[in-house]
Amino acid sequence: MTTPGTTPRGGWHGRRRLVDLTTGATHDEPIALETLRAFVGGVGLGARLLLEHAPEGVDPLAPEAPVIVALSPLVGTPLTTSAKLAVVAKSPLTRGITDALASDRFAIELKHAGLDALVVQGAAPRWSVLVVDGPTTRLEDAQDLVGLSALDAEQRLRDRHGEGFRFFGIGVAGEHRVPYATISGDGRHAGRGGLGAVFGAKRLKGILARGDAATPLFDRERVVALAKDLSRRSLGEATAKYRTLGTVANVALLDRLGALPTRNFREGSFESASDVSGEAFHAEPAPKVRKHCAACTIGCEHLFADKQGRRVRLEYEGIFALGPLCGVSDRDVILAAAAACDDLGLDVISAGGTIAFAMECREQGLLPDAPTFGDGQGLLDLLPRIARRADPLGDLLAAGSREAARRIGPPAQRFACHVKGLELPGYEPRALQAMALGLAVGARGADHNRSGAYEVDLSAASDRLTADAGKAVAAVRTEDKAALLDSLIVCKFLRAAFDDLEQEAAAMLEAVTGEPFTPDELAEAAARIVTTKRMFNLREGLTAADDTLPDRFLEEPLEGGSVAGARLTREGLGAMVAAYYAARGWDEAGRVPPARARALGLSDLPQHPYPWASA
Amino acid sequence: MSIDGPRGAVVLAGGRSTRMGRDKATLPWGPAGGTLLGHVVRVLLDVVDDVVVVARSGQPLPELPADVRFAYDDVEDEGPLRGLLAGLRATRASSVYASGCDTPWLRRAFVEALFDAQPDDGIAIAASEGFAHPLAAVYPADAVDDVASLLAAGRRRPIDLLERRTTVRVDEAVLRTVDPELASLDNLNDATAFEAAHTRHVLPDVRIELFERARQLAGRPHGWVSGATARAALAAAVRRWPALAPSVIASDGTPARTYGVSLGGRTFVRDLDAPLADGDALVLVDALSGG
Repeated sequence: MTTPGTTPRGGWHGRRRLVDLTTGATHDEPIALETLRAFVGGVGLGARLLLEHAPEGVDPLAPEAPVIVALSPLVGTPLTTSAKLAVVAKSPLTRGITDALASDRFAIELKHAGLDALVVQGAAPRWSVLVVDGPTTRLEDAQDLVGLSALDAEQRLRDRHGEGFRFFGIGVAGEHRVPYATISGDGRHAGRGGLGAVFGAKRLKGILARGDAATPLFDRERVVALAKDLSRRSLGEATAKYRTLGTVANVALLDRLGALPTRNFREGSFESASDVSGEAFHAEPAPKVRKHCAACTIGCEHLFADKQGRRVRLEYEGIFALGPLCGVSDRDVILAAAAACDDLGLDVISAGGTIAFAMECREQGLLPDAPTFGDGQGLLDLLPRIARRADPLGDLLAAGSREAARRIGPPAQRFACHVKGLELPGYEPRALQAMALGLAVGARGADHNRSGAYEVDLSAASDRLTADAGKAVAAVRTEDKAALLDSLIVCKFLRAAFDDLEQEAAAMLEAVTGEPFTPDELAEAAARIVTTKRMFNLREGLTAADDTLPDRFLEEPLEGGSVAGARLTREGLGAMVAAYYAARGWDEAGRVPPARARALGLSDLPQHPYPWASA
Repeated sequence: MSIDGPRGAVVLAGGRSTRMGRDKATLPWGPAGGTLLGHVVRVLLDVVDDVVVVARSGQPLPELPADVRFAYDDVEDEGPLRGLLAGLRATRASSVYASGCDTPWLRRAFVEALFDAQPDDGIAIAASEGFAHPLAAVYPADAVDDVASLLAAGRRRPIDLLERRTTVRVDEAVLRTVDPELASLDNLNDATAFEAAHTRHVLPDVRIELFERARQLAGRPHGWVSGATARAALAAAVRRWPALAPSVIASDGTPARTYGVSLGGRTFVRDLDAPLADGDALVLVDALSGG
């Protein structure tokens, strides 16, 4: 058993670097060990730093809005899937917190620069790349990179600077401040919530990092033993689906369960699902390639050849959003659209969701220039117009479905399928009603990576077609597990490999950092992280009224599929949300009572006039 | 093993039903208005893509599903090989399961198992107690020429066809893994048997639907088993597709830790020992199907 230290002895460096792009000034500040222990790293640490650095009510695209790259204590260790980073900022799409993960050697290089977090504020006077080279940081002109994809920009920078540097940056959509633009490195995207637009608003094409300060390991022998064991399990049956099929395998199952969102969430089953299933993509004669993220033994990424012979990364969410959601059944179109989103730096879910919204508006006579459902070529034509805001329709849809509906007028609002402005992922809420709760209360909006409540729906634990308050505890549990995984950070695809996540996470953290952790402490850390994100959103003006689903889901029965006619009522969702608040220890208005904040150790947050503090 | 391509069935309904004393094709069976022929056809439509009913010209037939097609004996009263010839000429499938119309307990898994056992270009035939059963067998569609030449030579015994093609005899022990009571081989030949048949209960046929990793392991998207409960049906599934154990289903029929079982793609099964009905579908779902 280790004893607590006073400064980091492993894993963390205990340091953040603050960069002001406006002036070019940088300086390092310590991060207290107590804070690192309490928030672990990744999403947790990023949320904590965002509350500290973001001025209350800041415009997400204003210079003073911070964007935070947060690392974890496990980055740079031999533990599989640990080469990850979290990017955290106020979202231009939701105006609440957004956090997104990416897997990339960039995370390792930034960690080797001796940092646990990079806090970037200000706006560069001209397009720039931020170069973090160990202890030094400087801005370089990036005018020649404007208009390039992140991958092409990375190649050009590595040609210029050498292989030692790794890049994390934006494509065209980020440059044009599309509020669902991504940031990516080595083809992996921090996808949701428009972080790319935050970079773009700062005229920051990306960050180039290199370092040689290896991650300190408190008990190297123990870490290596744990890493070997985890790697062995990562190659077992628990991850076999991801290795052999990838997430594209979800299409057929969710269609069978009536949970595959189709034609802008009107239906739960797609008549051409077998044409766009993972099995159909795998059955194509063109060779497929499996790819691994940095420091990952799983290798979940399956690349499929498009008509031009290019290798295209394809996930379930890309198929769902660019296929059934838009009524598109042509595999070549889906591949081309997924490739375009990656090149342009667009979040596939929000891109597909916004275009599906436009298609329904066209059907209803509200948007005559939009393509119709099933118009694959129309979909392909729109993506670059959105990314470049090239014309009025592209500019309108670049705003995302919520804002586009506002501009079109009230009749369009029924067709905007979002929560807090973030377009829904590929899990039909009426067919998966625990997930409906998870989507409604998510801090970053409708999201499947921060809530795994569908796990409850896909089991005998509860009736997935009934909105009972009993789902709340299970939803909290899956949300907390996600918060812990996203703060460690290790890949969620490992979750079935853990018999007891908190127990094993405590062992890993203790071996790496030298700090004693108990499973209970980590369970509490997860609750603390979720509540911290809540406190940020409340501070920024979000309320319980934002914890809901669009009217479509609460007023219209689901059409098609095995659960046709399934309904989710406003009262049912409201009861689940209320039970969720109670399970979180929040008050009836979803605010965090001071006693709860104290219990979670959140009383030391910066002294803003906390509007969430209940009397 | 087994020929790729569409699977079909040929149902011989043109016999004279002399011992039964009335036409077997129109015997009442199942729900009100149902017939024995209609029941056999519906069972087969669950496991094949194309069903051909072979009848005598002008024979009254009950109402059958719209996608059933018909063929007629060009020479009547020559026995089942003549009927098989008409069926093989009419089929659109690569291989066909041949059946009489008097098998009320034909199990879907039984039919699938024979297709699975079919050798390339050959025949798979059920065998029990030393006898092969030509009307419980799978034939390649291109055996039509062999059948025609046999008949031209005056040889009417279906069993003679086995000399012409590679044949796998699927023995009783194997058949009982999919049809524990071997009920598929029991047919109705006379009125006494027909009356007694109404009191016999056989295990329900249950469709097992597989997705993602389970589909990969089993090498198929779905298949049929016999089982009175979900647990029994899942145990039968493991016996049919052993690769499902233990990562998807334990050998006793208990789903693995992350797996749930949905009844018909709607609700999830809470009581694995609750009774199932014939034709129920169990969808195996990995609760961690996200990503």
